[in-house]
Amino acid sequence: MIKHVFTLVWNRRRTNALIVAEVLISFLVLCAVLTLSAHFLTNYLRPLGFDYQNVWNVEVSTGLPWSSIGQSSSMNTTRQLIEIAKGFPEVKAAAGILASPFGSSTWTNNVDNLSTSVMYDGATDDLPQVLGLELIQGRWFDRTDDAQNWAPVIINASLRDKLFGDRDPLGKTLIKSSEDHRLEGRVIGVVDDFRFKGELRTPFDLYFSRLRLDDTLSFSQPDLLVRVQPGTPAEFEERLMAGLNAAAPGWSFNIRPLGQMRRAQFTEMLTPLGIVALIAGFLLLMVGFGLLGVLWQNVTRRTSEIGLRRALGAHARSVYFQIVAEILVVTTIGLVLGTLIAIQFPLLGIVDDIAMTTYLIGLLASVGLIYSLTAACGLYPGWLASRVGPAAALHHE
Amino acid sequence: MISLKEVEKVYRTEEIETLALSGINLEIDEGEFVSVMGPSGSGKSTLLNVIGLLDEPSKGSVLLAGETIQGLPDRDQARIRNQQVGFIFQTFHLISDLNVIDNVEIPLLYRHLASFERRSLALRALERVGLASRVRHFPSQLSGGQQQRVAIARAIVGQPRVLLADEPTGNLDSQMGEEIMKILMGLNEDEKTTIVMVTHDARLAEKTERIVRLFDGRQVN
Repeated sequence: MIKHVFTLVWNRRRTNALIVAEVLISFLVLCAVLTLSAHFLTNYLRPLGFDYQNVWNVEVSTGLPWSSIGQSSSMNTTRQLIEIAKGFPEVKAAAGILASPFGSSTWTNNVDNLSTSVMYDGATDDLPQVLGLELIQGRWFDRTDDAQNWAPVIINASLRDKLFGDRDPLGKTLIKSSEDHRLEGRVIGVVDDFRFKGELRTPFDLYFSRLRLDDTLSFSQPDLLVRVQPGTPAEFEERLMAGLNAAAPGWSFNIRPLGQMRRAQFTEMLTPLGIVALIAGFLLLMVGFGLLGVLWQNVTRRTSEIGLRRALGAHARSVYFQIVAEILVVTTIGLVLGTLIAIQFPLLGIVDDIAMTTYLIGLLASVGLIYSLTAACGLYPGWLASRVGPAAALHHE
Repeated sequence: MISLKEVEKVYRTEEIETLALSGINLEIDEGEFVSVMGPSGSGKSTLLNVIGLLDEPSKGSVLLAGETIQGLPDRDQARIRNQQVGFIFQTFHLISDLNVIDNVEIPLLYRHLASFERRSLALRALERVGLASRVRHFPSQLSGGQQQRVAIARAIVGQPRVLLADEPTGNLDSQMGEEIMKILMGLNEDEKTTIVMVTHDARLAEKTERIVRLFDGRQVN
């Protein structure tokens, strides 16, 4: 019977082409939505590595030309700003950081012989107190590092695993290189993770460099991170701003709680997904109604054939089975074509950011959903067909 | 082989009641070739449908090979239709999207037979009606007579004991009608297949062993 169903579907390929196209397009859109949703959910469920609650980000803009950024005078002012912030009773801790959590700036560098570039961030000695960072090995930067003639470096667990495997990373040398310079650092600590790009982003390899703020920096002005006491009112922002403005006239500051930046990032990343999901929902609805209509019409058009099959020995259940089997075969053709297209994306490296397992979950969930939808759409017309009396069906015009 | 006792068939709608068959008593022996004649609307096709389990009688009993067939569950009725009865229709009822051999195989799909076995039986049936060279053709590529021969091959492929033919020559010219009649008579003589044929053509009916005449749903001879 299965072979017979395949023969029928093949011989009616022109009629079935529309359903195959509908299934194919819906599958691809659904696959994109479900894969991205699974990707975001998997990322979201992983530990962030820091505590953003009650932490405010102070974006610092010196107004200086690019060539003057990072000069000693600017760094001295930055150090003063941190001290001023710490002086407020509402502030528990303050630190300087190059790339703030949930912000838009990121820095990458090449490390040792790793084929992919590695994220890095610069932070002052107080960052663990501000963000509740916990080290799983070694220690954070402190004043003892002032006397060293090597640059201390802190790495995250995934970079440790890639560079050192099971070996102890502490004291090991790490060579950082970019287009114009090559620096040696020594690993002094390991954090579990620091996913400063947010929960929805894919975890990445990362190392921290130490910001001394008494040295000349060559590339960027750090921002400030301030941990305030729980329940600190929003009015404190004004007083903090006034204090900072007084210490650095001509500089401008933008204060935003990290929680607010996180929500903005969620909105920015999930809105397009929501739109695509809405389109996918409509598409599925359209496909559902379309299939129901096509199958219904198909059953009506084939009433005489159904009557003939009943006359030749088909019982009601086998007619029912045949109608549902036909739509499942047509769906399978659409899904096979869709899967062939969908697997090109990871094979061509277009979705490198998404883990293969996540991609497969999205793919299989889409297959399951499309099968469920088409089977559900085939059940009612199939039931209608099975109830047709053979004598009446044979004389149906 | 076939026994009808006091068979009545009434079609009811919300507004009217139509008596299609009334007081039919009919015995058809195994291997007999019987014609059913009568004007349009006299109940000929209804009689065939009742014998072939396509329709249930409203009253009376129908026995096929000694077994009462009305009131059986759908699955059992389907099995009897599949194994004991072969149908031939005036309009052939071939599935246009299937080629000749796939059309002939249809009754065997509802038996547990292997694919090669179905194919072999279908080929044999097509040889019996002289269409072995047309197995890959589609119905639209065949003449009316050839299509009816395919329909006969489909009716006999499962080697049924009874063939029910509803005006099998009604859509054919006289020459093709003769050819079809020859095949039916051959089946009756060689295979001892019991045949009940509805026809308007008295010339063809006279070639059969017995003529049953219906008028307004009643047997008149």
